[in-house]
Amino acid sequence: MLFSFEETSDPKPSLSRRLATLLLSLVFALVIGAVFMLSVGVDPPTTYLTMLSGAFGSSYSLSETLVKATPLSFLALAVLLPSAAQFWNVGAEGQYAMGAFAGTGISLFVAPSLPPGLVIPIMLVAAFAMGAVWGVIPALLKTFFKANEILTTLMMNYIAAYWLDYLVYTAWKDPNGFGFPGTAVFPADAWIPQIFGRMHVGFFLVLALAVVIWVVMGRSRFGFELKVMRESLKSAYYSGFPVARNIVIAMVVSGGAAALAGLFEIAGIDHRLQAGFLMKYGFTALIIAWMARLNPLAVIPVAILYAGLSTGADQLQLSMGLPSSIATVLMGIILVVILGSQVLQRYRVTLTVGGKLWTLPS
Amino acid sequence: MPLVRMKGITKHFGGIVANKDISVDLIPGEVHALLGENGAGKSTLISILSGMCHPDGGEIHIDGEVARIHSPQDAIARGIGTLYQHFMLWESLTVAENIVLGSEGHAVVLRLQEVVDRINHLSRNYGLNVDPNAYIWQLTVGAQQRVELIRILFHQADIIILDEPTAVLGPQEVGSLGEILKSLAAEGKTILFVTHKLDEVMRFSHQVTVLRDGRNVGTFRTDQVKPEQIAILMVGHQVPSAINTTHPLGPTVLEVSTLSALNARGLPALKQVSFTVRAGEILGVGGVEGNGQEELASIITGLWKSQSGTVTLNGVDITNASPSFIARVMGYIPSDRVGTGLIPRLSLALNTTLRSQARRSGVDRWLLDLKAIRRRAQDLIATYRVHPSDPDLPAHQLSGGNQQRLLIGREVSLDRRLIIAAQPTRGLDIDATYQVHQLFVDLSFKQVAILVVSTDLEELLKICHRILILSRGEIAGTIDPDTTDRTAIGLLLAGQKGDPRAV
Amino acid sequence: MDVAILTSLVAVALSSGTSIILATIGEILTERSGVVNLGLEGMMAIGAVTAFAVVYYTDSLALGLLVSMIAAGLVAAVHGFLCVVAGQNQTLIGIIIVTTGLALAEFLGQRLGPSNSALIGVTTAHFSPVEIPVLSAIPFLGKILFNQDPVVYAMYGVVVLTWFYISKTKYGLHLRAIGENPRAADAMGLRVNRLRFVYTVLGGCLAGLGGAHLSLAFSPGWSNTLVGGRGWIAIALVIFSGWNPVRALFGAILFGGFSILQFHLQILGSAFPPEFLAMLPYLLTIVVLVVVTRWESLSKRVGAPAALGEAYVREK
Repeated sequence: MLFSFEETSDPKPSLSRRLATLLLSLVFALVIGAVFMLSVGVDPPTTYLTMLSGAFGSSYSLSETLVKATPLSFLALAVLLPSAAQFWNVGAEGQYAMGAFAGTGISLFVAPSLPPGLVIPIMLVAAFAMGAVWGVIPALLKTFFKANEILTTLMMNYIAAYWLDYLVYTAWKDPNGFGFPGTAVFPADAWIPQIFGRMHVGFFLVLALAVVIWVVMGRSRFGFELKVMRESLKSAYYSGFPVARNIVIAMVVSGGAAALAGLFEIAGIDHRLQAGFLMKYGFTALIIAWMARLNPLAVIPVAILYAGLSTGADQLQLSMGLPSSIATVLMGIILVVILGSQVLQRYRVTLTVGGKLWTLPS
Repeated sequence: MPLVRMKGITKHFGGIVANKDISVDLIPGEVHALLGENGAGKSTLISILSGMCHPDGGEIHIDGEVARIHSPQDAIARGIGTLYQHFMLWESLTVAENIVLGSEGHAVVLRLQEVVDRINHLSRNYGLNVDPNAYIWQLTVGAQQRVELIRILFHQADIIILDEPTAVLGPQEVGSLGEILKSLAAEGKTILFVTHKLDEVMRFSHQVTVLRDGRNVGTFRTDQVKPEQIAILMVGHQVPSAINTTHPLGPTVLEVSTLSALNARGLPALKQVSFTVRAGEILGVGGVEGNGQEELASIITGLWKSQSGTVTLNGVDITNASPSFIARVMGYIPSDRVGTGLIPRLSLALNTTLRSQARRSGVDRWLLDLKAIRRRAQDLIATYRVHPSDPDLPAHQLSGGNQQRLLIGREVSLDRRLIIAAQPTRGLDIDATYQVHQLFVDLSFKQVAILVVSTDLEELLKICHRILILSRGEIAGTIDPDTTDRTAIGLLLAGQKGDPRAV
Repeated sequence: MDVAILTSLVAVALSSGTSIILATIGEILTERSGVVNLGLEGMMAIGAVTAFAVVYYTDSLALGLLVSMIAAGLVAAVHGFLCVVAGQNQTLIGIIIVTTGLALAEFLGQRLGPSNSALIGVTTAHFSPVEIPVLSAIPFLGKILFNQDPVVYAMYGVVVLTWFYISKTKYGLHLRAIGENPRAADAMGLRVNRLRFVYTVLGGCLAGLGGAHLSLAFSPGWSNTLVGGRGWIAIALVIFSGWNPVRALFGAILFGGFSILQFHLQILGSAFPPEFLAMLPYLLTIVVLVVVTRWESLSKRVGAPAALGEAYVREK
């Protein structure tokens, strides 16, 4: 058996061929996923159906999917802005953590002395500010010292995670919590209202944010400057754009938005900060943003799909005892196949088996 | 008896015919010149011969048999050595490592000392002065070219292809390269020498093939043909004559005084450079590439920092000002036309807004008025006869000449009193070049000050009022195009003596 | 401080750094060829969990090491395929590989135990220090360098061999060439993309071996947080080392010295919360990154291969 790759000269495949490739790769990914399931000893059709109903099968599961989609969309929109300028914010996770930290601090220590109506606004402001600070540090390190932002943002995730650990295990641990690692429950003024199941107001905010970022990217000078920076940094300098300032602004907004996601999660869902709060959403958000081709409006459906996969996997854990990490593995398989299928746009692939030839695309 | 026969070579790129039924024979012991304008198909033809691309039709015969050259290494195996216009060198490796790469033999551990000895031997034999232990990034362009030549000889190629080797050389270096080529031919090597300069053809070649629009329009024995005949074949029509630049000059616009700077490698790039440009003047900065011209343009336009000295614009000190400030006060046509000057994947309309953005007021400061941008772009496209004229097309779909007219148009439309232009006609054909020159001259009549940095001395002689020659970061001399004679220019270009860094 | 305690602390630090050094050496090979592999963290986790599972069932440490390299190498092959052949964005793919690799390792760790239970909390055979007779008698250094487990000794070999390979051999020259100027390398007959693929896989194998050292020697066992950012620190060390294997060793010693401090502070008392100590390596990574980048730009030293991170497509 022999594969050979020959580069095609056709740079732009037709839309129908691209759609067909996408569909085919999805099917192919599901088949690989099935093989994976068989190899760990579970029945693929049952597993897929359980996941599907666990994700979208009832109003409860749908609301849970939206509950998960909210922080994912928030974070994906947050990382999208700097991504548009070729700045990799791999640190959304840390900024999200710091937003939760700021919100918790306000609701535990400041809220009792505030008028009820002010609690949530002040939490929002504090979380945004904290996330912005956390996000702007790597931006400054990049603009002043050229320090690789992928590594700095990532290292700051670990620092933020240990900081939360310190809070929930030691500093802010609920003295009446019977040793449970977490803070006391927030006062009711600090609860963000839920609407549909556990789905809260934050979901609508995220929709609004998507539209705002869409307008910024497509219509504003700032968005245009980011686009130029992404295409060619040299060109951005030549055009006199404030490159460093734009990166800093993008990271302030990005860190702030990511922190809001963290705040909504604790004030809208958990109503306390507890161990296991961080779910590695940061990486997922980056992947969602790129799979949405950095289009803010496309982020929402992609995030909902991903969230569905994830709540579906929670159902698997409940009813079949499968670890929920299978969702991420399946997602990985799907992504690898979709991204890999683009090889068919770059090459004509020929497979030779015993003198027979198969050529793709034919 | 020809060693290499190319028969009916045809190559298309998309809908464009690059080579159409070209046949050329190369004879051992002779230098064969391949002459043509930019875009005539020279590069494509030699890419095919050196295995960098495959022809759609036609055959190559070497030594009487059909040669299938599917890759550069097929070509090397056939004894074809190519000196590419963009050098195939590794900056972070030494000369010896560069030369031995690809022909190390069977031993796994490198025996660099043997390579160094062979290089020293070759460089003595052919007068190719190079230090085998130097890193490529330490060498001048001319020395890098010698490394390429030594590599070809090291691989014992019988067929040597040179793609525009003289483009990066000063007149003295061109002369010595010509001598080397002649002596290689005398040893029995087969040489294909690509150029668009007629005088080099006449001086160095035995035969010449002229390409135009991808076709072979004639092959001649060089000693049996007149240069004028070839020139007309090459261009297909009369060459436009020189351009009139006589008009009164205004006050000083740009003043550069005792400017010194380092290049990206931390080596001195400019030493105490001083000059002025007056309103309505076209000042040329010439010299062999890599002698500080690029740094000079970058410093004036805020994209590179100087060490000492000053730059003033209309009496205001703008030394090391930020690029965003500079973008508001002068026009700049960078040598990197696509990638810096224009963004290839962006539409023409958006490309026209690139440098016109800074410091606006009101809504316009925050939002793009796409309709107005499109309208303005349409005006620009019409005024500067950019074709195709659809403002929504991405810039990479334009030819080099049209890209350059759009770029110049944008910079000029911003109503700047000073324009800096680096290599404004590089890669353009004769008509496009003429149009660019005419644009500059029209501007100078409108009392715009223009600084043109170019390695093409003919271009500077045609349009400039004065020409400064930079040599190793210093002003080696000033040329008055009307009075200075060619020999003096050649000496200026060459600097003092040889190259100190290539031992 | 007692010399004996100091020696044993340094020895532990070296053992702790071994997985990082192996991954760093692997990444140096990959990046020298022009490919960025950010997926080390995931590959190390895969290596750790598969090695542990294999030893659990076969009791063969050698087989465990071999399988860890094959498993991580396969993951790296996916990275190589997507980046080198399909020409996708290497940063994005790296992040996908990390996420998927960690999840897969976590999944396997939950399933590969006896009758589909978790491997967590299970014990197996593991590597122990082997004293090398004469060399370990060298004062101070002997106890540090030559009273280690066999994987550490293998690591010494890997560092020296890689240095020799890159700087002195024909294939090392080819490796440098494809990462510096792939177009020219192609013209000289090197199969750029094939070599890049091979070095990506090789880098993954070394990362897997590093992971195996964690689960079979340094801290025998498997848990979801076993790798704990070492893959990322390895990537930072590549920058620190200027893509030079020997300098990477010194970088690892710096981090090792730091972990001594961490241990020592932990011993000193409970006044300092353990979470703060745990933050220190990540903080140090940021500081080192800033200092090294600053120093490089001041000294005009450009260590990164010129074509790093760019897919190579032959022009037509």
